[in-house]
Amino acid sequence: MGIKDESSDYLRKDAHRLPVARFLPGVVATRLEDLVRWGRRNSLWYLLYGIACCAIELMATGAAHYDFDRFGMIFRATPRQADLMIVAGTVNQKMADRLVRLYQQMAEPRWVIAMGACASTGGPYHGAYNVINGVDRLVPVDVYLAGCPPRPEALIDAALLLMEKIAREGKDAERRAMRIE
Amino acid sequence: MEDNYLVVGVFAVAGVLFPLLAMGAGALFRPHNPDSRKLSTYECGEIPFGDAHIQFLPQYYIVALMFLLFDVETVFLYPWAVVYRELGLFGLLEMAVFILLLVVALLYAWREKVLRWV
Amino acid sequence: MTPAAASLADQIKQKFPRAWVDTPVEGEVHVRVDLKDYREFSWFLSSKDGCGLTYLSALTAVDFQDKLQLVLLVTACQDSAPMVEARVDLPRDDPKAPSVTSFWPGANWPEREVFDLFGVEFDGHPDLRTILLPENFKGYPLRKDFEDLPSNEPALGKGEGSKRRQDANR
Repeated sequence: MGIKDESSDYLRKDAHRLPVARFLPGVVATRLEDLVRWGRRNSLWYLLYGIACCAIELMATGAAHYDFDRFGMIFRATPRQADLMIVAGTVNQKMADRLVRLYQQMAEPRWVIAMGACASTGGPYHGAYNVINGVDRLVPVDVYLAGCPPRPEALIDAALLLMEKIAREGKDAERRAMRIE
Repeated sequence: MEDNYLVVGVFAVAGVLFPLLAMGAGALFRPHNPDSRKLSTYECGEIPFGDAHIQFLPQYYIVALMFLLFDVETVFLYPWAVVYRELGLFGLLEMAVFILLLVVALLYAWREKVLRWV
Repeated sequence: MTPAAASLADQIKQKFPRAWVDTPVEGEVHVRVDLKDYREFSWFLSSKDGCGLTYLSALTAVDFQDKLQLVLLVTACQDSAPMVEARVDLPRDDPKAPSVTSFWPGANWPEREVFDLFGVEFDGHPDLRTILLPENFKGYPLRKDFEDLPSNEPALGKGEGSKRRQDANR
């Protein structure tokens, strides 16, 4: 089992598939994948990646009043233990390097929520110097969330949308992004 | 008598099987796409530099050594305690001598200021 | 005018006759210093034998069309201490100034920021390198004549995002 070459394809269609599914008959594999998908979407551990103002709303959502933990989502400080990267804030050119490296260090299955206007399209700083116009130029994004900053309710909505997306995941193999207005 | 050995045997087999099953099931269910960048050392997104080598206090080593000694002594106490009634006074005095020898060792360590955590 | 600010303004006027001193706001002294007097003025403000104002609150720069101007805000950590706003004009073509990190160690990063965003070189700075922008960034963004070059945009990876954003609504 060698190491893949450097051109790791983020959009690999079967990146989240289970190895055991290949050996089992169809109906068992499907049920098993359903079970695993249920487990994955109900325990999304997110990487603490608050880079700017949206981090405050991310922290508020994780705290007592809005509470991410009731969805099984707890924060992890290391990418190895995280399934979800919530990019909360403006991405600078200097930060872009680190963001990509952290995404590469996350273990599959992994998803990305672009939280706020800055992470989605560059936000109020679109076109300014030193700003990456949207984190989807660096990593594949699963859910875009508008807002400056989005309220905690909106962030929870985005997380629930991602869970619905994960529930549908094996069905159409291409991962598509969904937008919340 | 055979019952007891059977129970120990079942425990041994279960103790070996349980981690194997847990890790094996994980290997079947998780994606496996190793990649040199995924396996690189985590340093908050920076390219790692320098050694991972750290220096630790020698007090930790001394504490571990002392613990090991007295833990082995405790291990010897258990079977003695199980058959204590059959051994009677002779057994008590013999174990007292054993413990006394180790108490001398403890007093020496105490005087050598090994027990002081600085 | 608080007494401390008034006496400080007088002291500065005495020692630096070329400087322009004003006290428009209570408790503040506004000074315009020549570049030639800048180092001595900084020593005078910061040292115990001078004014004893040891807290550099801010160090930044402004781009007027014909010149650059360094702005310092200096005060001391007592309630009654006056706030000194010192401005130093620098030429646009080759803006160099002496570093004041030896007088206020807190000037280290602000001077790096001014170097990064305005292009002012500080002589005697212990560690003059970019702080906010990537190392290979060309140009000085906070100057009025800054134009972002396409070469400044980094070679981006395989996100392929903007293409996929078109079918994001499905």
